[in-house]
Amino acid sequence: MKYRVTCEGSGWDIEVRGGGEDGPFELQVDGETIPVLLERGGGAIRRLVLGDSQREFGFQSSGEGNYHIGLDGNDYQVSVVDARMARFQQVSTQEDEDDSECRVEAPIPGLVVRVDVGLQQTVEAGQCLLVLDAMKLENEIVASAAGRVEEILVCEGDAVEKGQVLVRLSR
Amino acid sequence: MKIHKILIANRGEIALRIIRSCREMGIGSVAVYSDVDNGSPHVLAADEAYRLGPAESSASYLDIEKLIAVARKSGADAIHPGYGFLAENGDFAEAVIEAGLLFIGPSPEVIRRMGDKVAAREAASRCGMPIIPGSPGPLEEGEDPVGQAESIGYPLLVKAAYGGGGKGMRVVRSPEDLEGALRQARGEAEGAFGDGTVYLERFLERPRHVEIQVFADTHGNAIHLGERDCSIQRRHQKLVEESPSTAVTPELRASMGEVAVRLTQEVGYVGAGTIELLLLPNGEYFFLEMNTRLQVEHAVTEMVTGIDLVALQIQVAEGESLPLTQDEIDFRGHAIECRIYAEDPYQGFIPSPGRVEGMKRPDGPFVRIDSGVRQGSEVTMYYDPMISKLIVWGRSRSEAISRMRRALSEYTLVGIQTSVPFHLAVMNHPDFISGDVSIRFLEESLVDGIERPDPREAALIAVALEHVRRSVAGARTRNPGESASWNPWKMVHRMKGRRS
Repeated sequence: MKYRVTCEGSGWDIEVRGGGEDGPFELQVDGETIPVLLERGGGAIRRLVLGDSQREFGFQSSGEGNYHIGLDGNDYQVSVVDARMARFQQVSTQEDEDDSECRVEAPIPGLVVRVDVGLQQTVEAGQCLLVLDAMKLENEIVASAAGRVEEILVCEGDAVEKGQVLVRLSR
Repeated sequence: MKIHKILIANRGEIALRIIRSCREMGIGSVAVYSDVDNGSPHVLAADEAYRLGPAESSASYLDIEKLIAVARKSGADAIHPGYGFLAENGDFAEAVIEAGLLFIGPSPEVIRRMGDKVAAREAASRCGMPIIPGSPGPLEEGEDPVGQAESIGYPLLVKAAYGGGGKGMRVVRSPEDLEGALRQARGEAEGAFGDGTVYLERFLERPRHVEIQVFADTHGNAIHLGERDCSIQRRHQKLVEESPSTAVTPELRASMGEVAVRLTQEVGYVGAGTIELLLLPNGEYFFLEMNTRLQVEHAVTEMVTGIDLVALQIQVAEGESLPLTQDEIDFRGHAIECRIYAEDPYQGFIPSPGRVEGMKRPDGPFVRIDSGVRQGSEVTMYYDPMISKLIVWGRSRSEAISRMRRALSEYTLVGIQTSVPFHLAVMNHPDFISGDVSIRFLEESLVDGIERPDPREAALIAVALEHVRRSVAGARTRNPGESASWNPWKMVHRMKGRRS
């Protein structure tokens, strides 16, 4: 069985071989073969043997191959689809993608306390665009890539929802 | 007066912390909760629990009338405010007393006086506590700045009198730069705030945040319980605290402690208090403010002194004398606390609210965890995003650091991103290990942030889970609970054998 796995902008083609219901199986990734044995049953915290090491992790599945994996203090969002499905998705999303534009969205709901950039201003990756007050803390919303400010869709004092577009940058 | 039942006017880990001391002392505990906190650990742990109102703090944990009404209804005879919310609100303390209840903390007058920055500085200064040197008032046009600057000392800071956010601010390192800096700062302040008035203040290069825990009873006795170093902070939010501080010698501790105790007695303080200071590498220190409550980081002091600070607060509120004199306070070993927040350390510590889908806490020798969050808990936008305080003790600082690393690596959480990787980075950072830290640690030592790890392993785990899920879905049913025996080490050896 071949899968396409994506996480944080990286992707892997992984083939899974062998393994009954409880037995170990093998993962083939980047030309490497890694034996895996997964602990079965139990709750959200599990163990597995991955190659030569035993690892503890937390997981939560929201169905359709979407997982939260808790490992080494990090929470990863991983998507697993089967390889044929992945090719289909690639074709269908290619048309929508527009690399020349970058939308900066609110990662959390909050209140805009300050806008630090002006229209047509050129910004560097990592530069603070605006400050969002959420959970009693001020959070800097930074440019994910260098570009020019095309549109500012919020102003000071606005309450914003998670995922709301705040600023549009052109690359 | 003996206390029989305490209402805890707070939530989360601190409410749970107070309930635990109540239980040990045979005192009844009353929890309060907002709608989103129904069923949370502090509610389940208390002897009784009452709803306050909706999630918004103003309609729940900050509603003085409701809190007093619950105290009356439950028959509580005292209120513990915890930290945050109403803990430093003089009106609340007054309302509690007027309702005929004991307030576990200092008097409303003392809370108000120390909450007033100017009054607090005056009181501190009178007790011999150094204040950051600054000009007596705004620097008028035409006034001689050079003489004033000379008496304050270099490096100094030119600050806009009516501004903030770094605008109209200049660091001046030598007298010849003063004139230019004044001109620039005035111009900037004029442009930004419409007022070019500036004043001078001593610039503290690499200060540490060091604070002294003090305790006083109603009979005029006061002691200090040493210091906590809280230099690892981000925009005034403390992230790591430890005791003792690597910068405090026994002599410095004694002298800072003495002044702190004098201030405590001078203002007529009762209960647990903290005097926050900025400490320079040369041993000079300056008064910042006094917190008239239990601190979040009180646990590190508990670990090195062996004293339950909440129990002591309750005893003092009952009118008992402090059970210990200064000479009887022993400091043993080293304690470190990491505040684990629902924040993403890879994205400028942006809050990551959500549901804790899975959690396994660290434990083992000399590890303490104070938490108001359990598996299934929702970390909401309404309150601070703390998940837990992880505290360890060691005979030495290096033992405590190794122990903290071990404890952090045992922490498994899923569903929300936490600051655990940041804390691991601090525990592994040479500047932290050597003890050479200041409040500018994040800008100086971790200026590039922390490196995001390769997510490949998480991807492999997810594909294994998905593969098993699919094969189970496709397989015939089996007896529930039946599964092959799990012996990972046997399996590792078998795999190794097979490959060779």
